[in-house]
Amino acid sequence: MEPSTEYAAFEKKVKKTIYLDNLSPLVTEAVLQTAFNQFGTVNNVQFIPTHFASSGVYAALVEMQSVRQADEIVREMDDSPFMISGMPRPVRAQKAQIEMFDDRPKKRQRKIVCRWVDPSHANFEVAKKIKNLTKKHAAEASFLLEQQLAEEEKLHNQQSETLKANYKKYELIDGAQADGTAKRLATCYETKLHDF
Amino acid sequence: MAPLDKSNPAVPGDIKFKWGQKGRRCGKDPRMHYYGSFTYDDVEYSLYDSVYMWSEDQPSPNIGKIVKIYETPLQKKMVKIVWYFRPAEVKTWLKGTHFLQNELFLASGEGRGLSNVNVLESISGKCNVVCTSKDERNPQATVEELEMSDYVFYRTFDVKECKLSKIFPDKIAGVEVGNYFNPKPMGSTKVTAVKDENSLSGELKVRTFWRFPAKDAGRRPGSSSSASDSYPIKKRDVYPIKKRKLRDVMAADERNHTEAQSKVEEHSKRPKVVPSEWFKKFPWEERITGSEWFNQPPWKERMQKAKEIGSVVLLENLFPSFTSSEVEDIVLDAFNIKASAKMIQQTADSRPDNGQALVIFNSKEEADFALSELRTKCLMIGGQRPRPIFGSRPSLKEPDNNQPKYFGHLAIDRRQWVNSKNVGSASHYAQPNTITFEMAMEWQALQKESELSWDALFEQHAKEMDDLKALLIKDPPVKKI
Repeated sequence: MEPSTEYAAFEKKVKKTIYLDNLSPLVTEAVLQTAFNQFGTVNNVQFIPTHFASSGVYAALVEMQSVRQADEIVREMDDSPFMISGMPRPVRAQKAQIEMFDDRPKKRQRKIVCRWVDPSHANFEVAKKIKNLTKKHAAEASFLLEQQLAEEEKLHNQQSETLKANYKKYELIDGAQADGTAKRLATCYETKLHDF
Repeated sequence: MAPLDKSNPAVPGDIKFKWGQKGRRCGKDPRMHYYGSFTYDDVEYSLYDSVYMWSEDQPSPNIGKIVKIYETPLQKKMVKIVWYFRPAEVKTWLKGTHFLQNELFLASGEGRGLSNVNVLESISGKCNVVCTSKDERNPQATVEELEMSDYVFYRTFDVKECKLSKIFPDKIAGVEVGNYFNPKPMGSTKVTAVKDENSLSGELKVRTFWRFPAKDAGRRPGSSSSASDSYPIKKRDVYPIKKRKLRDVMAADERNHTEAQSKVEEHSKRPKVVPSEWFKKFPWEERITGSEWFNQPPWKERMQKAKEIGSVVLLENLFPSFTSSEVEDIVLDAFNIKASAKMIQQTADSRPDNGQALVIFNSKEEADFALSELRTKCLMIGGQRPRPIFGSRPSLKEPDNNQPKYFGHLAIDRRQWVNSKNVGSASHYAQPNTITFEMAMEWQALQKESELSWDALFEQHAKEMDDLKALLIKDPPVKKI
């Protein structure tokens, strides 16, 4: 049966939407609106709620006015880093997926068959194994997430150090210029001092 | 021919070399010796083989086709290579076109980037590249050959026009195009005669230079997109390299790199981590849904209350395409309890193919009942491809505390820098040549790395799941409780 018109409209909406993550938790809807209004018109901004204590991802769905705008943004963000509410970590943009949305209409009317499997049935054992496997997968995924966060923290600290070092250098140079040391050195070496 | 001299300073003495078949070509310079094949480090290479060329400072090898093998009068061994491009290297000219994960493009046309002459010692291994073009001059590859191949190609990339095309010209780099296609299945497999007009002395005058990839995953894309008119090439002398053991280094790096590159591409078009099974449609039967709901307070409030009384259950292993109301129907069917449910929105790090939903029961007892039922018996959803659902008590986030940990935003307390914009709420692109840009690049590289890990993990998960699911015996749809 054909998917309902409601669903078709929903699919269109999905195509116009960008999924953003690597967002700082401080980012608000207004910030995203202004940020993306530079590229086009923003129809809607929706944050993805984080239910679980262990979830590490902070993400949002930004719906643009046209599919083309959405495509362009995703492509450009892949090429050059775009920063929102802070530097230097760029956000990551992808095309949204249907499953990312909460309030989705049904694709078509369908009946979902569900039945209880008796423990004596052969499938029960297999089902148990599948359950255990899913649990294992969940553990693996959360481990990977932890690893990812650890790496991010490391990079952050590293960059912070570099930044401080650079900053000190600038301060040093500025200090030297301010108190005349630079000028004196210039006359000493008989070179010209340029002001930037 | 004599094996490589130990006294030759260009190559470490360990690598064995032997000339093979002599070529039949007559060049202008009679002192040039042409060959059809050679053995280097125990691997035999022939004319028109595809090889990896790797120098020390490159992150990953380039792939090319040997179109000429010769030895100069000064006993230098040279090979002329026509390049294959990886999609990531020509990304800027590829906007909008789709390509495969292990696809390459054969260079064609005239100009820089088409081919290079390099010393033979820069070859680091053989590469299995199969041509899948439907061109009538191309012998079609068998399924086995395709499975064994490292890469495929069916398009050419013209280095002058910077355009992709399915059409193969008659000659590429002066060599008949037939030599670029798959080798003929019967009879002589390799064409040893080289028919090109370029005089060898003319080629010798050309300085050997190395093709510079336009982009590496995560590095400096800004520079190449700004210089889009000329194909970015760096002229550098190629030095013979330390031979790398193909198996060890290549396998891991190559796979990662191709994955990285293809993922870099797919990133802009499709979300990553989507195994194709995600959108498989199952043939459901139709039915009008029943349950009517009276108006309820908003989800957040209900959630809050439910958390307090302990009636929240997390259902997992649902089909990700379910909607919240369908989940509610399932709960009604299976437990005869009316509850409200919400499908959890998937994020980039969610496990694909695992639909999750939070169900709020009306009381703790109901929730306990549902959980114990799920544990003792087994609820299977779906007729054609059933999957077991299981439930658990989720550890939910407290509403007040923890914003998720976020790294990556640095701040300067006092003054501004000379060349940086306001560190504030401005959203902007980083300008190249700033420290911000470099740091942002580092973040992007880290992101790409983690994407790779996720992809690999999910692939493995999918495989393990499929293996297990295959064991399920399909019963005809049976009575419900």
